[in-house]
Amino acid sequence: MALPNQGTVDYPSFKLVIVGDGGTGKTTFVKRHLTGEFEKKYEPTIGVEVHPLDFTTNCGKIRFYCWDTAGQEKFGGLRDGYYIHGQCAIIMFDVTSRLTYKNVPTWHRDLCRVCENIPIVLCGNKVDVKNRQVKAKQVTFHRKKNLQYYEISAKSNYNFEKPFLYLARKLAGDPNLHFVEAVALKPPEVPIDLAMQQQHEAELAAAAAQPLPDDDDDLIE
Amino acid sequence: MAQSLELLLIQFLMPDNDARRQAEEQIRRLARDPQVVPALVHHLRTAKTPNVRQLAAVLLRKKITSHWPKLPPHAKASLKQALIDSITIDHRSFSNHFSQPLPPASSPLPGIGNFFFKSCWVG
Repeated sequence: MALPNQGTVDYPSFKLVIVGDGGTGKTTFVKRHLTGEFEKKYEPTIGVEVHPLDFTTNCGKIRFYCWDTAGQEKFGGLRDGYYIHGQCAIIMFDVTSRLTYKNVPTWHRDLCRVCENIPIVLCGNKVDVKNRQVKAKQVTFHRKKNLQYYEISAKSNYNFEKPFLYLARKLAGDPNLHFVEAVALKPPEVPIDLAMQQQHEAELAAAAAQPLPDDDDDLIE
Repeated sequence: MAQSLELLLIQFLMPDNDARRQAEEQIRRLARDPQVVPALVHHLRTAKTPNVRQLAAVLLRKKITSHWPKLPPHAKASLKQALIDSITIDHRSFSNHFSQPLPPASSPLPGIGNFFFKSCWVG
């Protein structure tokens, strides 16, 4: 039945659920694209806020309805009710906070209970910050659960497109799909030390060639 | 309650923020009444779309424990039977939300959980 203001579009659209602890940067990340905003003041999301994000690919336009959920339990609203019919997901943690990485398995479990077999990207945010607490090589959860992992920084726009491109390719079933228009983003708030980050990515690649550690080794330095 | 609740469940799943917030507020209000339990079981079993059935299951899991003591005995008996029937009819909506973890003993779910595990072993 028809309801007002559904805002449907005549190109493919997908429900993207974004979860993760409070303060990891979920809303900031989404709003880089939507309006170019970057909120310096932290305001916890209440319940969920849906932001439609459009991308132009070589196969035409696509839209992600980004269901940006509350990370803090007290603002959780109907919580996993928001995950229903999620077609893809992002789990966000903050590389400057070990606890947010430790909680990733819980977010993954709750998400998978509702959304079976959907493509999921794990994102480690705030990689522009020098004093990381979760080193690139310590991130292993994605390998155990067959998720994609990207290191990102909302403030510097580093790797902003990659989670969306990965999900778009999976949903379209086309590994060669690519974005044909640059995504309009607010200019970076801070520069990222690219040489340092390339070193982190190299460490991540080297770690990926090693056998998976036992679970309790995850955060031993 | 039955008809308006189903419409609210549908509206809750829409991407429009204002419509969804209104639906959520009304669902929250209705959920204070123990009668939301039989209403959700009804939609779990009869809603046309799988997403609405799944949403009914999610909400039911949240509400059934707190409301169960307030329901009259005859309602409890018929609801238990309806839930057992739901397991065999529509696993997807039901099983992920009720099979684990087992809730406290004050709720009807230990019996349901045991039935579910038995059906796993047998099936």
